[in-house]
Amino acid sequence: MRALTEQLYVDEVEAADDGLADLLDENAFANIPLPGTSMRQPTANPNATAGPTGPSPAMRPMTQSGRPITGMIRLNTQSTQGKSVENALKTARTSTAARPVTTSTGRFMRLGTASMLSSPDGPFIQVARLNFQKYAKSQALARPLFEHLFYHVNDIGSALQLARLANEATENKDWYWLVQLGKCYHRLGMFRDAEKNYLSALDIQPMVDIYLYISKVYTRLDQPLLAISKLTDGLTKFPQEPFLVQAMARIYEGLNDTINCMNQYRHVLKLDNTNVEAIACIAANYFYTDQPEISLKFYRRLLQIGCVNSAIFTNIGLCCFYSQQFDMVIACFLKALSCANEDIERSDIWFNIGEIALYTTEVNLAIQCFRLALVYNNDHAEAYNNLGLVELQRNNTDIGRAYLQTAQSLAPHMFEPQYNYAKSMHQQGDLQSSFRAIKSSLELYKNHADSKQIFDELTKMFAEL
Amino acid sequence: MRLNKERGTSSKQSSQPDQPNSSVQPENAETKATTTDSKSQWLSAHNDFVAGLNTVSSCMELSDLWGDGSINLILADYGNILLPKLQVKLKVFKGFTVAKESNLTDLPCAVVACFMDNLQPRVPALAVASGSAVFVFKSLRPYYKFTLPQLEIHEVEKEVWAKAKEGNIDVRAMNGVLNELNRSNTVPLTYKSLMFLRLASRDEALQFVEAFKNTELKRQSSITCMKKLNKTSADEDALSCLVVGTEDAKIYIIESEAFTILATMKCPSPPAYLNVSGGKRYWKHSLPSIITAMCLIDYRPKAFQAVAVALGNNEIHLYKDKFLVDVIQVDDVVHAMRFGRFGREDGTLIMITKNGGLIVKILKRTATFEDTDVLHGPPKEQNMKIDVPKRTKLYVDQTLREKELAETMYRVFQQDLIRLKFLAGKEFLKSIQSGLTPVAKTKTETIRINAEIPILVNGMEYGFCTFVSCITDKVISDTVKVLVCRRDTNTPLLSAVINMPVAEPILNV
Repeated sequence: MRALTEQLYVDEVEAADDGLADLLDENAFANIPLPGTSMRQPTANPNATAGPTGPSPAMRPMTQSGRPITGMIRLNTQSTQGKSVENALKTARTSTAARPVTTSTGRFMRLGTASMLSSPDGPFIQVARLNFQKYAKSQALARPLFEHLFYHVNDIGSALQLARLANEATENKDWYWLVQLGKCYHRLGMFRDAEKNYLSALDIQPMVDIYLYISKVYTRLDQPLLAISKLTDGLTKFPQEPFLVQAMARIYEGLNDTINCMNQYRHVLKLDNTNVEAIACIAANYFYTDQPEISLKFYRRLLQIGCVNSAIFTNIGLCCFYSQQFDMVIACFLKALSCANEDIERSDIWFNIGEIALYTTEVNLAIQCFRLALVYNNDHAEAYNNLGLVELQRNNTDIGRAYLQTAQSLAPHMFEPQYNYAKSMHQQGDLQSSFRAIKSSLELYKNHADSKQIFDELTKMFAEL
Repeated sequence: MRLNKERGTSSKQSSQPDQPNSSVQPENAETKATTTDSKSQWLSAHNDFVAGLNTVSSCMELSDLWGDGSINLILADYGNILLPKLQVKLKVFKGFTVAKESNLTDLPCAVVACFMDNLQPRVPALAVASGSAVFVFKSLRPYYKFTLPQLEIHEVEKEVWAKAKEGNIDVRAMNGVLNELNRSNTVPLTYKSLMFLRLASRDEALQFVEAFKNTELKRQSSITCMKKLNKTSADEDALSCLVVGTEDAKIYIIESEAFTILATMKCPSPPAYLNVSGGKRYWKHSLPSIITAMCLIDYRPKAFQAVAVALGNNEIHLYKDKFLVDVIQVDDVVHAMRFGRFGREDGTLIMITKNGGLIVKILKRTATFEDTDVLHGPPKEQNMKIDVPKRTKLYVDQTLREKELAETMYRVFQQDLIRLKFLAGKEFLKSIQSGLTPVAKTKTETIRINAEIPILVNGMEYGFCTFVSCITDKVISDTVKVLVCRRDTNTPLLSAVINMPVAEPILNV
């Protein structure tokens, strides 16, 4: 039974647990939160009047949910609590990008089904027939059985039942069962109950895990500042624990507070100098704040500690290019291509090569690269956008505009295709279309100076009519 | 010396009332001290549109002529130059009234007040450049006349005139030789010879030779502009030198105690204005109208420096650096202006208009000029410092490497680029051949589709609907591949991969 559990054991701390339906839940305290206190909307958004502390969206690309791209793909970086339901529904729902429609079913159900697939003779334990009352009394049996139910069978209801009985048996004094109860409630989306259990577990036995769990609960309740204060409490008890600092860094990142985020990641590196996530995030931040040469150092460090994959090579290639160490650039990209295992990776690499080709004015090469990026990933909106620009430059206005429109429909979160389309239309004299596009560009990125300029020009023109 | 007069005033068209200039006494003139609106930075001190003054900026000077602490305005009034008789006067204003006048023999091109001695009290001398001489006045009494040095005269020309004096040369032969000399353009001819060449008839020429054959042959340049340059210290009342630009493209620096030439410089062409400056163009503005006069505004009490530019549309623009900070409306086109201390007032702008009016405006002591100019010049943002990350040691190292290995790096890059192009081309070809590209078709292909299926019209969009059913109960996601083929081949024209979302489990309620 334990062996089967081990097969599917996931680090609950890292699990992502938000779905589309979360947007409908009312757990968040304030509908219109104060700036800097919520991960939903304002501060997490480039349109905030106070302005993000990091580079502008024009410099640092955005994820689909309108957050600066991070250094490492985590489960939560693809989807966030931000945005409205309408936006989330509009976002192209591909397997790599968007969130499943319902909460806590999609991904976890998959983990559960994996075990069923692997045992054709039927389930190892018939859960329905178990007498939980009996097992709950015996601690030696109850714990492995709970873990089996929780991780392998993925039957949270039964697991909760067992945990509750076992907790009664231990009279609320065993931190283990309190945490397990918390985990069950957490998964079932009963965050207030989960919080209560985690807190009482902390009273009995402070543990790093519990701090992380409770910070997750608060994050889900959209209380990032409370989450940070809990993590700080944890740090006073476990001052050498990198995971706590890392969790803080992630929350700051979610709040778009780049400065604090970078400080926390640096702190992580002081505690654990091989932390891949911290190195990658710091490297990405340096890259987007115009210091590619330092970024290069960090990526090289990643290679040294054995992180060899196509993304790292691509990033090193880009860093070399931007810090003008030209002899290494293409070698890195070729290496990245040979390392790539998935089409998505290949598509990104070709897209980046295309960018480099544009900078070296090899327009034909750039076109080929962007088209290749599209071969490997049909939904590569950035490639469509760039293709559109190249074609416009070559005076193929119709094709160029078609490309830009495709990019618009593929990536409603990007302001670039909107702006480019508006500009092209403006030049062509189709002011109405231009106006429409520039409005959506400004909706996405309120402070984009060029968009504003066109917008002002157009409003003035229309006013004169 | 009529030539001088023609040059100096050719552009001046005065439209004053046709009355003798001297009868218009500024004392009697209509004087009104108007109060301007509160928004203006200037107080209007004096407006006199019939002052009948005709001058240029370089002939205006502000100086304490008598050493009594009150600054006087000195200007050379050209008078009505349309009158046959020249009536050039040096006028000294005390307050707004003419305190003293003295006649000048010729049109001056510059008036400069400078200190020539170390005597107390400090009384400046007035240098008036006119023709080929600088007349120096002290307390408005003639004091010294400095004449430009003689210029070299061509030997042949000397010979010709020597022969003419003796009377053994024909006028026609003289004309031929001098014309030849003029065209060869090695050494310019003297004015006497040039006048001679201009004479049309033989009789006139004979008369001319007869009249002038005994005068000494000399060639002198004339002064085009003059400024002063402090000799040893930057103090306002320090000893100064005169800097004189001449018609023959030379600049002389004249020491003013003993009137010796300290230095001589050659310019490529005759200097028209003289000013001490760097010469590099910092910025450029297009102005709404032509520039009629310019002057520097140096308001010491507030350390405010600006340039006043008088324009043809009755406006005076004040530029601080490149920002337009103030616009003064005047009732007439300003032809000459000067800013400085006048009377006991620190900041006064004295303007002479086209029709001879005298306007004096005083800068308000509370005046502040802000660089809030949006209409003219580049936006203020241009001066904002860009937040550049600090230069790291790593960066310096890399730059050094780049410097040392530039050639190798470039070569490697180019080689790699070619390899990359080859690879990209190969991959691209493969993708085209297998029809994997989502954005299809070369032009020929599209045309061919049209030819085969006549119902399809180019440019029209055709939508095809089909249903996709989920074939598994497992909660997994996969892709659906769409291939568009021609009927007779099995290589697709284009293909698209549609990523299906994660299937939702059947909810048992």
